[in-house]
Amino acid sequence: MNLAVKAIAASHMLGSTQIQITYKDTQTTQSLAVSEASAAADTNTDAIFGPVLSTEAVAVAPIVESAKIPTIFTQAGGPGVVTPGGYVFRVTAPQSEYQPKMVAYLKSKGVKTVTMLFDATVPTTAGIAQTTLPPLFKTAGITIKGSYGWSEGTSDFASYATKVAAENPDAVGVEGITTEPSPVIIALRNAGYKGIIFGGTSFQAFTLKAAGQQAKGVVWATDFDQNSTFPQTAAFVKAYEAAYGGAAPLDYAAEGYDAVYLLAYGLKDVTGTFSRTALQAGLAEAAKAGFSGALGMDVFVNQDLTETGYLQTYTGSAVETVPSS
Amino acid sequence: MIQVIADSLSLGSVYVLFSLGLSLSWSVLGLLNLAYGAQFMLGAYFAYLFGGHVHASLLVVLPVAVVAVAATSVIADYFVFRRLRVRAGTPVESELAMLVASIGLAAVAETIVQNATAGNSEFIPSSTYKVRTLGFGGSTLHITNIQLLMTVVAIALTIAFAAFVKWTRFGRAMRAAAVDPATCELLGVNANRLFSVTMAISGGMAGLAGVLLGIDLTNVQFQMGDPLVTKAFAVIIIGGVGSIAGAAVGGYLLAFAETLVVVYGPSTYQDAISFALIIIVLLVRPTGLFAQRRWQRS
Repeated sequence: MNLAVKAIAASHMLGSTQIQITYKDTQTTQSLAVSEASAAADTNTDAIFGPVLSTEAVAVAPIVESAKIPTIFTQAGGPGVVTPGGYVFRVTAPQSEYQPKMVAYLKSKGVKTVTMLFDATVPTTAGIAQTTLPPLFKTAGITIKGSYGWSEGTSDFASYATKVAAENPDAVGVEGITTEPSPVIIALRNAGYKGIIFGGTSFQAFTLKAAGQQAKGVVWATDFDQNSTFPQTAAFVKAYEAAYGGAAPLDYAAEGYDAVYLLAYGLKDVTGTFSRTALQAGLAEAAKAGFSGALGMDVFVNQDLTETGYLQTYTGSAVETVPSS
Repeated sequence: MIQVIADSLSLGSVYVLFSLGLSLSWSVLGLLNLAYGAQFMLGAYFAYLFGGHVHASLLVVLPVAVVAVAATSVIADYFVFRRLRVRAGTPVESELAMLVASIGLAAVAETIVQNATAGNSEFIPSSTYKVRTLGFGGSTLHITNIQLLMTVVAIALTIAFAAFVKWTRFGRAMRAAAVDPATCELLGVNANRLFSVTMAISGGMAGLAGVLLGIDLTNVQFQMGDPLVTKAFAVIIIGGVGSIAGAAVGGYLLAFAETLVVVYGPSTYQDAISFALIIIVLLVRPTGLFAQRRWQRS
């Protein structure tokens, strides 16, 4: 986000207007997120970048709507966050939008059966495993052999892996938070499972590094392709690596970057005297028009980013984009 | 079925390794140490830092982590818990004050690590400590070398601890101090020294468990000990507070229950069913399976 603020200032996109961001840690706590949002609404803050967890976002959304303060969420992919025409915007396409690409890939690989493993305590991961994917599998003619959830903080996945290895499906879906993919993948491979392992946005180079070669060939759907040749994406990746010692940007960074740009385009579209209401109208206009950002061409429907996503795979040491078939 | 037993033993060893030190401080000092999860987390960070950055072997990391975390435990006892024990009017007041203080210490430690790591998880690649899968019986049984090590260490430490507490002079003093520290002092036992050593052993156990489980989990994170603290309380209560053998039996019992629920039942109800079993155990034996017998003179 800081990178976007600097880029906007350097390009004089907003003339002499500067974006200033104050960061508040919500500590992944819903009550703290609510109190921080309420506090921000009571000050001269013009807009809020919302907390990333769905559980926090669904609690914050009604507060910012009633306070009429424009709020831009990233991540927070659960339902009930964005109300069309309201003050809330979201710059992360829900994972449900790019899961069809994942299912099409599995079908193209001849997958007939799958088993789902997921973090049952996180609404987003549980929703993808239990609500989003089953109808897609059914349409694709893929049978679900089993669907097993674990609680956040689970310290051993061996029993889940044993169960899955016994079922021996063609593919296993792993939907968890960032610390979970590697231990689950390791447990599956240790249990002798040799089929396809696929996942969601918690699959990243840094989260899979722990599994190393055991994660080789895993596939996942994401909204950000760091290998894209799309000009704005390539420019963002280059700027990010230059700013942060060569570290490759994650989807979180790209979404944050585009969230700041949505604010900037919204500010540009403000007409008349500035107010939060005028900014909301400006943001709605900017979202309606869409823009080229780090994520690619950002298109919004009802103030919510929509995207078909990308498929990526891990080589055992790096992330590669799976070519679209 | 053999794999299910192996999975249960592996998970149970995690619980036993984590619970032994907590059980010790609880039974001897009356300290329900909620900072134990944070100490465990420090041990795991030693595994991450020394293995990932210094490329030290496990043989080096383990003793360093054990000693370092044991030292934090002794320091916490000297500056916080000992003073609360002295100032409290009754044992109940002392236990409550130490419980609250341990929450504070956990918050301090976790906040420092959270800020130092920006709240991010750090990962320990399998290759760092050469974790690999071992196959037995024509590949019908799979277990990693680190899980095997954890199981061996958990069983060995349980036996060693039980023997130490039962048959050594120091162990007898620990048991006596757990019942009546004042009388122990009158009989020439240096209670403060005994409590410091108990805290050192407890902290060392947290460090040991942190290193091994951090490697097994492949990642470390500032709140990683918190879920295990809840499990450890359950393990200790099932076994009976103050019983080393009880902690071990409780750990393996909970692990078997959880594994069976995952493999043969509705996995999302793993915690609910496991803890329902605990309630049943407690209804039958309210003091746990291996409760310490205590005598009180009238």
